[in-house]
Amino acid sequence: MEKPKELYHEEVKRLKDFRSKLETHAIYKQDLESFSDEYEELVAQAKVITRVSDRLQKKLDNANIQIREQNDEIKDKNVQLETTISELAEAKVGRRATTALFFLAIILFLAEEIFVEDAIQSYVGALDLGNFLNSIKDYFGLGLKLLIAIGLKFFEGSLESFLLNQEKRKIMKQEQKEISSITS
Amino acid sequence: MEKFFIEPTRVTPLVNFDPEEGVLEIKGRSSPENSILFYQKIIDNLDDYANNGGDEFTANFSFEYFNTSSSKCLFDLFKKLNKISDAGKELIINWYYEEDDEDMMEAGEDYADLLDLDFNFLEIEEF
Repeated sequence: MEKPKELYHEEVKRLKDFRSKLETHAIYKQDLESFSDEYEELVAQAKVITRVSDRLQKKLDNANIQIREQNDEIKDKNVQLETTISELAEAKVGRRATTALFFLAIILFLAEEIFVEDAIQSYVGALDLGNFLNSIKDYFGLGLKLLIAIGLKFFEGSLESFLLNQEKRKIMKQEQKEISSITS
Repeated sequence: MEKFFIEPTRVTPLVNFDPEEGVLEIKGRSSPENSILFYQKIIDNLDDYANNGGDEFTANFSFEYFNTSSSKCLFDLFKKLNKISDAGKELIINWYYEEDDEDMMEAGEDYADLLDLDFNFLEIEEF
């Protein structure tokens, strides 16, 4: 099998030939002229190859700069996109929590009105709490409703963060699935 | 001298050599690690064409990019094209370059000047 040639095999061969002539002292003016012509050609060749390579390196550098700029732009857009997505998720979760709480509030108020209110009234009505407390015992039911409303407000915050965490886990899972489908 | 076709890769260009039609086409990117290994077959076939080929030969080059060792191989390849021309055959060299890619056009001009070859410079929108 033929040995693979090296890039400058022709030039190296000529140099070797010339050196072997030098060693045997069998060198003529014609050989020197031919060698200097070849050397001149090689210098001209080196000049052009260097010029062409520099030019194309410049082209490559410009392409790299463009890619870097585009990468930076993509990174910025990604940050913007992530912010928008989390804002949207928060809004979506907030709406869901509000709806859930609205129905819970209706149920609790109805339950309070139907089952608890009468029990409170009959229990409190039977008690003698002194002049001042006796005058406001009709408002005990209203106070309970107020406590439920305040409690619901606290519950809304916890429900929102719970739903938000769930939403984030869902997004992470989806992203991991997409990454594994790309890498496999 | 044989007809051959080489599919392009990420680092080597498409090559289509048809001695019967007298056509050589090289298109794409050229940045192989061992350029001479890739180009030697083309250079040898062109040398053979200069000695035994038809009366006309057309070479089409459309490069996006080529590395330094490829530029040396292209130089050797153009020398063989020069040999075809010196053998009295009609030689057409078309050097295609993408719109606004002046660097590639000037690279072609450099080769043409050094080897005293006539290049047709043809601008195309996209490879």
